Amino acid sequence: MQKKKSRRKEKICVGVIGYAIFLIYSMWPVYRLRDGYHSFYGVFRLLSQKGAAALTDSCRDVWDGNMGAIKIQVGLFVIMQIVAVLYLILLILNKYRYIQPVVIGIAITEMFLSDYAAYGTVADNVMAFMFFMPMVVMSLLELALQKMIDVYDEALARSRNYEVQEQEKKEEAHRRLDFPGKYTKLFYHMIWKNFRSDWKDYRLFLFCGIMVGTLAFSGLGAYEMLSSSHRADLSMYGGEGLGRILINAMIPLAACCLFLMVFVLIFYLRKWIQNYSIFVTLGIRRKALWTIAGLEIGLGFVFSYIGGVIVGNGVLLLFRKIVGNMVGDQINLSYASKTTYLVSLAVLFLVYLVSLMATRDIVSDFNLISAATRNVAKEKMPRRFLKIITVIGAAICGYSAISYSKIYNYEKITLMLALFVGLFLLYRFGGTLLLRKDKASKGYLGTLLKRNDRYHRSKTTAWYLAALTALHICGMFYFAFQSVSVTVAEQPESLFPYDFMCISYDEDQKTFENLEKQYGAKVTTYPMVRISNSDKTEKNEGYYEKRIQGQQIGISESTYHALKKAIDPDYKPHFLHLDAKGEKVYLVHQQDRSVKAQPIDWTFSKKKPNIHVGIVCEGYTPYEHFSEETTYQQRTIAGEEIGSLTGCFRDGKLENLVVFSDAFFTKAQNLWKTTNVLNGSFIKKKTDAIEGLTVKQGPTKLVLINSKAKDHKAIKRELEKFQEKHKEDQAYDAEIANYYAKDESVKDLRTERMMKLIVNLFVTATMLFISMFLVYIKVLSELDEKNKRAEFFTCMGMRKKERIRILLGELHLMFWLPGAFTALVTAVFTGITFYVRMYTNAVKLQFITHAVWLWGGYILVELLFMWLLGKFMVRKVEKDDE
Amino acid sequence: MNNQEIIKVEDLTRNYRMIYAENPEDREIKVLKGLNFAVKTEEFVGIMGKSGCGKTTLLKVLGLIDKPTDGTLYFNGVDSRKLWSDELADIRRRKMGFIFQDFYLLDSLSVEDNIMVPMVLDKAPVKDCLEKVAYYMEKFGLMHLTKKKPNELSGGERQRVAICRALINDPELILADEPTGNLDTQSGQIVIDALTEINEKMKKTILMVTHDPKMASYCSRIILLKDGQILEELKREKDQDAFYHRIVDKMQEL
Repeated sequence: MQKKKSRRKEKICVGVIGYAIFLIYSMWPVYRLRDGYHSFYGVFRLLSQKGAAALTDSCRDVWDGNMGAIKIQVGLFVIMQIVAVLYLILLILNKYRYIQPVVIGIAITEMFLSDYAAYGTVADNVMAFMFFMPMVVMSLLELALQKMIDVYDEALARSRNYEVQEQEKKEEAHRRLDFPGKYTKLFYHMIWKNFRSDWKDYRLFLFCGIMVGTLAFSGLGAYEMLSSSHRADLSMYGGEGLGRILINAMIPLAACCLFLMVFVLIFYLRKWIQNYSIFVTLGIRRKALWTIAGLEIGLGFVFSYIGGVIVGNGVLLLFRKIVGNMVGDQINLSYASKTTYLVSLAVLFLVYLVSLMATRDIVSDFNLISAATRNVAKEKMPRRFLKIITVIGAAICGYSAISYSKIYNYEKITLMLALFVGLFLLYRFGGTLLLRKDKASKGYLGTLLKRNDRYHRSKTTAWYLAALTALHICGMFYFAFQSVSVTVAEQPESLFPYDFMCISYDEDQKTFENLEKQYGAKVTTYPMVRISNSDKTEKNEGYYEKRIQGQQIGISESTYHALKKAIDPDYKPHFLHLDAKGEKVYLVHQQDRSVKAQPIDWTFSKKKPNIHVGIVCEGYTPYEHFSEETTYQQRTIAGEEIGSLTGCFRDGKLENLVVFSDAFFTKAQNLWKTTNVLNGSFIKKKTDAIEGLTVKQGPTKLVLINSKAKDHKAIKRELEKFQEKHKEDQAYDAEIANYYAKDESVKDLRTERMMKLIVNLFVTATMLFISMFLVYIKVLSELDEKNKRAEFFTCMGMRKKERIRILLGELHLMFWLPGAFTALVTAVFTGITFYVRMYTNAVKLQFITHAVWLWGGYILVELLFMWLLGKFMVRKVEKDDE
Repeated sequence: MNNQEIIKVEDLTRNYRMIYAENPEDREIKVLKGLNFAVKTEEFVGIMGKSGCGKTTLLKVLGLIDKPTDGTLYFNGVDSRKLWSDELADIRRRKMGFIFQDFYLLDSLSVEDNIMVPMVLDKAPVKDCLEKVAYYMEKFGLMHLTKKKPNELSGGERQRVAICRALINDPELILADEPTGNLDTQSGQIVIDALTEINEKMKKTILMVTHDPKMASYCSRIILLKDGQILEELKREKDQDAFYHRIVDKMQEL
């Protein structure tokens, strides 16, 4: 009772303090009017007397003069204060009443009203908008405190009770689970012996861990090695820099590593559990069991890391040698620092963690009998919706192929993932459909023994087939294409027809005339307009994230023909089907054959590019709707080509050519005068167009320079000064420059290609290796079962030849079926990529001639491995006969 | 002591979810349907029934390896539901011995090591382990096989190793699942003689699952299971042959 009384005091105290502050604050002068600060009522009084004249200049234009709204707010304010005062009086009279929600409700209503009208528009200081927010917060806080006081005693008692219970639980656990003493040496001796007998499996697990560690270390190390050279650092934002090439290859590799680790861990843990189930039955303590498991996995992790670092350093050394031999001193390679060591450790840890989480259901089941039979348990075959899901699988594959043929999909690896999902559905459900059909046929019994594995282990077989197909497709198509495309790409020099390309202004004319006079440089000038597109990168930025806009070069149809003629004197101009309104554009993607086909603009749903004539309008966002029509318009692509007319300086990501009809181009040159440079809206009133503030002309001249090699350095110095003059052009995007030099770009391109070739060949080789490793694990994990089956077949009188045929048939299925799907996918997708990269027939032929060697080598290694594995399996399974 | 109930089950039920049933819908199979019985100390109880009647499931539940879906299992008067997993492990290690049809010996360990596993897991001193192992190996005629691996032994020898392992911690209860199932008649006889001796001379309680009436006739009491329920309990008379014939007759009725 005493406690209750004291709590009441606390409640009154909190209420009185809270609402006293509330009421004092409500009378505070926070509204800034013409003659100073006024309270809420003061504002009402002044407005009633002077009207808009009481307000500051800026507020006078904004306030609509609606006194009715002001009166409503004042009325509500009075009610709110009366209720607050009433509450306060009741509290002082020692009578607590629950009436604060009325105050809170009114304060919130006032807050919203002030946001849009009435009091929100009469003062121009921030506090005027925020006036009601502290009141809402204060009243809510007071209410919360009152509630907390109500439950405080109960919560305190509950908390104490909980503590006592926890303590009791701890004591009980200590008493019940007391297990004094230490394990003797015999225990460790047994565990060691057991571990030794598992060594073969553990070795495989360790090998896989070292492989993952090696890939993580060498990948990260190679990235760091290259990060200080050329524009690898910029490549993170776009383009085909060295780091980007490496990252593109490392992500699928990381996924493969994870997949492989999970696979090996499942294989290892199943055997481990089978062994330790006996210990569990015989009463091993959980702590001891998990310590053994933790030690084995922990040691695996440590040795994987150490092994990975050692082998990874070897790989890096090899990589350094190869890069050094191929490009000499053109590239500056740094050394792997402690960052690589630490990050690779984190990556490996993450792989282990994810793998362990993925296999947790296996670890949780220590049932001795089910552990022993788990490996031979029949797998359920799907029964329902087989046809529908098979059709869905085929549709996904079809969708993937069609989408891949669209330039705006940028040969995305996610489309490959979709394809793999489709293929898995085909294997699992389509395969089951065929097996069920086969089961119903007359010849079923004749082939039962040969195909029993597919029925018995339908799920595992489907997973293996899908995984192997995915690996082969990655190896034979996706990464192989990237590497072979390098071998058919144009000579780097031929991609830069001019020594320098400049994006200049009218006032720069003198600079170029001087270059002509001083160095005898051949300067060709064409009219241009800066073109912006609403999204520069393939990244999906989402609603709130700012998009970086791309910048391209807009030219007229005549300029296009002139540029073509300059490169090829035999060129004959043809009609580009462009219109006078500028709705249709012709695009020249300035990139080489080894670069993925890509769109000019990456805006979501980007079948039509969002192209703006003029410099980048920073305030523009594709999500915001202006009252005026935006100048970022979706334009139809009348035609496009991949090639180089002025130079592939930004690999097709930026500085591509956007060709307009001559009629529109003339109009486009003046569009800047009516385009709001802040947000890209049209300016209708002439007075709103203030040069340098709301309108701004971008570069107007495309200057192409050829000069003698000895003058390149001197010209570059001059152009650096020219660039310095226009440095604000780079303020938005550091990848954009006012001049681009051929020499540097040729060097960059050469190193990028070399990098692309090495990395993609490495990934192809790794995919091949992982696929072989996977089949090897499959064979090992099924060896016991196959041994038992062979014994059974022998007892049943089956001839050895027949037994071997069944054994090899099961193994070879893992070669020919994924191989057939891979061949089909490779053929189709290679054709599609030829189409999107717009390869000519001669290039296609050249590509195939080069690719055949890679494909042949891949298949040959795979065949050789299968043959050896077949021999190994037969020897292991049919050992008794020998 | 003789009247003390070492195991008591009340309305014991165990259901399994069949994942690989032919029926695509997963089915719940009721394996044990509300069993009620008790086993007293020093009893030699046999559990019999046709294949699939729930014998092994019952043994797993009684051995605290598996948990009942419903009902209560008392071990030495303690409700098993109230025990934590490490307490169950302690009971399995100290108070129970297991003998399986498939032996479940570790091929990575020698015969000697296999036998001492429960003692080692109980942190027993090395000297005690070695002495006790030597005692039981001698008792069951395994001295010449000390350093051999289980996969080098015959079925009968392996089962004797398993019996030694079951006895090493001096348990109160021995659970045997078809201990002679994988053995020839001669080896089977050796094993059942050993079990009888363990029961009679060492005063251990034994619970044996078997489908062999000959082996069952050595038990003092038989619990006959049919479709997860207790059909009948048979008590052994003095004449073992008569008991055997009664069991055979009952088995034919099943």
